[in-house]
Amino acid sequence: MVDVDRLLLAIDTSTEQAGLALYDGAWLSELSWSAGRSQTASLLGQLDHLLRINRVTARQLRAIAVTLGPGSFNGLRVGMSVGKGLSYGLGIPLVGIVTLDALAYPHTARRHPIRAFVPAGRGRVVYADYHLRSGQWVRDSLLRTVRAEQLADGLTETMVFAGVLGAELAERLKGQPKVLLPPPSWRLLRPGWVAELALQRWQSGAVDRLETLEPIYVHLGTTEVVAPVELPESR
Amino acid sequence: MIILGIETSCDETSAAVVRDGRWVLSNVIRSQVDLHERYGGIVPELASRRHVTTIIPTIDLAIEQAGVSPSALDAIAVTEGPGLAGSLLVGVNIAKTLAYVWEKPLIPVNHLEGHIYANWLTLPGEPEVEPPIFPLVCLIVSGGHTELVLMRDHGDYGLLGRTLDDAAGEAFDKGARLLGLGFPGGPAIQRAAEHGRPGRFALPRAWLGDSYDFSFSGLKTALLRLVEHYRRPAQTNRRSTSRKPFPEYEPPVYAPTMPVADLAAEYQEAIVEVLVEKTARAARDFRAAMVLLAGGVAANALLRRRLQEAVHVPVRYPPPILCTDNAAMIAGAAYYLYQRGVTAGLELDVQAQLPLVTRTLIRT
Ligand SMILES: [Zn+2]
Repeated sequence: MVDVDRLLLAIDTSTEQAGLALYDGAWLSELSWSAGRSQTASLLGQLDHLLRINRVTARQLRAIAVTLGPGSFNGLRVGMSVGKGLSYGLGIPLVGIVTLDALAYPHTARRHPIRAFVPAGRGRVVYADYHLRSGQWVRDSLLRTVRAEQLADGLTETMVFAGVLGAELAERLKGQPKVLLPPPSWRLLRPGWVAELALQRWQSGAVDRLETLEPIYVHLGTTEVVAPVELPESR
Repeated sequence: MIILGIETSCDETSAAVVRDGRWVLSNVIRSQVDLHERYGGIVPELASRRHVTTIIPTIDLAIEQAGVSPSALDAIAVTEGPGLAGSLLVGVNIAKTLAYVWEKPLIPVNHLEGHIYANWLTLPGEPEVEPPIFPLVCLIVSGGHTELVLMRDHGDYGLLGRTLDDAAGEAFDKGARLLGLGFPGGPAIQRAAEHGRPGRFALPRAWLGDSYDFSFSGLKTALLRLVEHYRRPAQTNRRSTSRKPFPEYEPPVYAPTMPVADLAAEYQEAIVEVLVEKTARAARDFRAAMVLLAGGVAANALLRRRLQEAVHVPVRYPPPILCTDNAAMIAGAAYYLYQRGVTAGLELDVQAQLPLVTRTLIRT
């Protein structure tokens, strides 16, 4: 049974693979599809579909989560606009989650440092590193851009790689020392992970403001500084 | 019928509530001029970003100022195009979401159609505006468009002519940038031209035979050649811009002897003369009962005066606040679209290149 007192909807349009999840802390329903660049055309229809097949209405939602990026600028704006529209229209809180945090989150249980990344266009990726420090998972404050094939250059410690890769590059990384490459199903951003992180943030009272919340825009060849964050361990 | 309109096609974030396509209950416009000034023009990526943060407070204020509750709204209207894709999608996604959760019809509006319908609107506390009379000729002039339209009835448009290159407002912006006058260019050139004498320098007019089309790029090039004589090497204070995603505008440096006022006056004259001549000819050719002006450049005083001198039927233009991009005109046009059964579903997408005549009768 759905717990309608804590029903949260998570939205992710950071990349061309879009995702939605309904989550109440125990029960989870997910939808993930290849939206390409037409997230605007498909997102609300898929949301309506997800609600219908679970026999839930929009008015039963209690909180909205949206990924903040990094990712495609226009893609992020689509999710953010729909997220804000739902939050405002239904009068319920909105929680922003850094896309890389959701990618790293499922791998925290392995207790190896994590490098999470999303495509940034023109063969580049944006990545951030996660370390376990004094029993607490912490994300670096720096989001860096690098050519995808240089993602594992100069590693000084063994890291788990989390993010979507082309088949050829994945094969090459697999052979490299200090690289732990989970199978594709664990490297694709599952909307359920966004929902899990968001539910924890929401229940702890962390809510974002509609008039200030915006995506994280990382330009190619630059480094973006975002506040470091402590990540719960996925156990 | 009470409609909430949302407009984010370019650099203004706007939301408005309008009754029956004629009565403006609220019209909130958040201008981004402060943001784009230092770049000397609109930076599309930055415009989209600003919409993301301002859109909800703008909608909230529009609903509050109108004194209605969301449940009192009969429909939600939004600009689907033409415009900047990244900016349009903010408004379209918010509008679709609100229509979905509030269970209201969604009405997609062409931005150009919105500009025309600004002429049907009465602002709060102002005397009633009589609806325009068909057939009419409307000149839509702004930073993004220059279109001459024949309108025989609601939704019945014929596109008589359009710009082949720069829009009239864009020509003003580019001219102002060349003259070092700042942004936006229309008001800047109008101000500079006040003390100038047109005709002292000759700038070309592109007549393009007897077509109703316009072209302004040659004018800009001719101005460039004139100001080149006065150009001084810039005292470069250019910091390394290699890491800056959006380079800032550095105004050109000219000799103090450059006759800025005379150049601005002739430049404005050249733009206005072609606009007026073609609009007046269209009004005669199609026996228009009325001539309408619409769009940001409709605020230009010289254009209004010359047009009134040139045609013998009434010339109408909206008050300045309804000439700029605003959501009241979108909610206004939406009323007449809805009367003809135009609505959209959840799959509505943005259309950056949307032409005027799409959901409408085409009879040129
Ligand atoms: Zn406009």
